Amino acid sequence: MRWTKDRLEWLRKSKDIYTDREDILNAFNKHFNLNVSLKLLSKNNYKYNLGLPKANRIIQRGLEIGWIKKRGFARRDSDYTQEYVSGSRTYIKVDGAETKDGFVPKNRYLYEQYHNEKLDPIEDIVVFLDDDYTNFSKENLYKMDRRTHAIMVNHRLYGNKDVDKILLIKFCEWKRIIIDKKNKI
Amino acid sequence: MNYKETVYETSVKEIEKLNGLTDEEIKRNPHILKVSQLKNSHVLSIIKQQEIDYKMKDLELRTTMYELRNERNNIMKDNIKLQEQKMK
Repeated sequence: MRWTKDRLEWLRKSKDIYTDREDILNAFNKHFNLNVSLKLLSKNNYKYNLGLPKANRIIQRGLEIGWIKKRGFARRDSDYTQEYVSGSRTYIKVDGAETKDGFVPKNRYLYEQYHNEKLDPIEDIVVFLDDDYTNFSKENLYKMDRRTHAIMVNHRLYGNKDVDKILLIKFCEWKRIIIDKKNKI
Repeated sequence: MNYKETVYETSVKEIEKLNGLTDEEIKRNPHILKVSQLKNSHVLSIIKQQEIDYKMKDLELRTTMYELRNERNNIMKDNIKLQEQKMK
């Protein structure tokens, strides 16, 4: 579609008649027998400096949907995704989750399901034994104490490609037990 | 025995051993803990040594790769020079 002089002139004049961009769009499409979208009209409004009024009704509608969603009134499953990836972590939506948005880390959730036990939100962490963050099999998930994990980090044993992770974890667990026993004496 | 098996088995055995001991038993025989700590340090040194070996091997391979690449580039340069001379 070409933005001819008469079309642009028609649009410039139309802002005196209509107060909403949506009305201008409908009238414009009807007058010139076109099928222009609001996005294209807005783009050319900026390009040719037409100074058309805003599409207030559409903006208002969008804001209302946002407010309703925010207050949790119109909540449908299709409005939300069931799973999303943030960095290397995968989050899954769980009914009755204690988190604010209802999403929990997938590895933790699946570990709880596999072993039928409740993980401590601070003390327990779940690691991937083969360092593949998409492998959620039962054998690949391993529960670690946070202190064991700290020992592993402090000894710079992370990212060791030659040694298996389970071997390093066992070593760190051993070290943690020694420290615990030593503190008790 | 492979060092990986050695490290794993030693760790598991020591964990079981230490978990089986009560606090009083350890107080009576503190050398048990010291021995375990020594073993732990030894195992850590094995792990670290393996890491160093792995990195050395990796470095050697990289060096060889860069040398080969350098040689290839030199050959290509010579080839270009020869072609230029032929053109003249």
